[in-house]
Amino acid sequence: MESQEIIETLKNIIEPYVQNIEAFKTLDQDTDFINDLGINSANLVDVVLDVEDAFDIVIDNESMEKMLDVRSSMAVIQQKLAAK
Amino acid sequence: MIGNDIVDLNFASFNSEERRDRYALKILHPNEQEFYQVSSEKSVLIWRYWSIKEAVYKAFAQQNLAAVFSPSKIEVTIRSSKNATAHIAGNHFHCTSIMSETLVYTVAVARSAVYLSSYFMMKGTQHSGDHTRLKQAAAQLLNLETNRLFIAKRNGKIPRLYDRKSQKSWPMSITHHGNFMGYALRF
Repeated sequence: MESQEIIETLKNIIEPYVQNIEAFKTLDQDTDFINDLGINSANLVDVVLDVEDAFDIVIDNESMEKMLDVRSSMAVIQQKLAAK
Repeated sequence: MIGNDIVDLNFASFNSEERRDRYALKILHPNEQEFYQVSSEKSVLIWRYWSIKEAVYKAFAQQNLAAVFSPSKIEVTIRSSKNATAHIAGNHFHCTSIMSETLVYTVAVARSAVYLSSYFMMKGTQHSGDHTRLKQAAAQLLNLETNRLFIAKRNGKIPRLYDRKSQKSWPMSITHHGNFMGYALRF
């Protein structure tokens, strides 16, 4: 899967949980889910569950801890897709 | 070390039991799974676990700035309808939770400590940064004028209450979710 396709899918997943819409509009690889987008930490688990469904992958708890920003989330998704 | 966490249950519903149970698998320690599985109140219990884990992490992170929140690695033992104990990286915490139909609120402290804790409903979901109500409550308890007190964040994230005059300071924790905000102040 192309990284552009991954980032678009990821954006659709996180959008409902975003509180800072302005930061979402300028989202890039460095965007942090909690500090930049204002996503509540309880919703980070929802993001992980939605990512599992959208990409048909399983994210272990070690990997889940890392999914705090766009870059690291992309890396986890790419790694899990490659291992399929 | 003190940490708190509030969950506004109106902002924390699951659209299916399956989704709730998948969420539980992600956040619970292996030793908590059984307690959860046999519970008849899973929908509240899951948020009680969450709130305890978040509060414990926040308390722990006050002295371990590089700590990463890893809910399934915090092991919680429910002791009663209010009390629980929790372990994180060899550290032990006492946790007290309040549960109602609308919220779950937990305070975690490293050992028995005197603390002031409260929560209140906000207008809307945006939290203001002035913390007036917290300062008023603390001022009353400390018998000081409110305008002597201010809150500053260490490393941009660990809040502390300061008294301008005496230069004293106290560790604290702030939480907000949905329409609720809570604070805990340790003396």
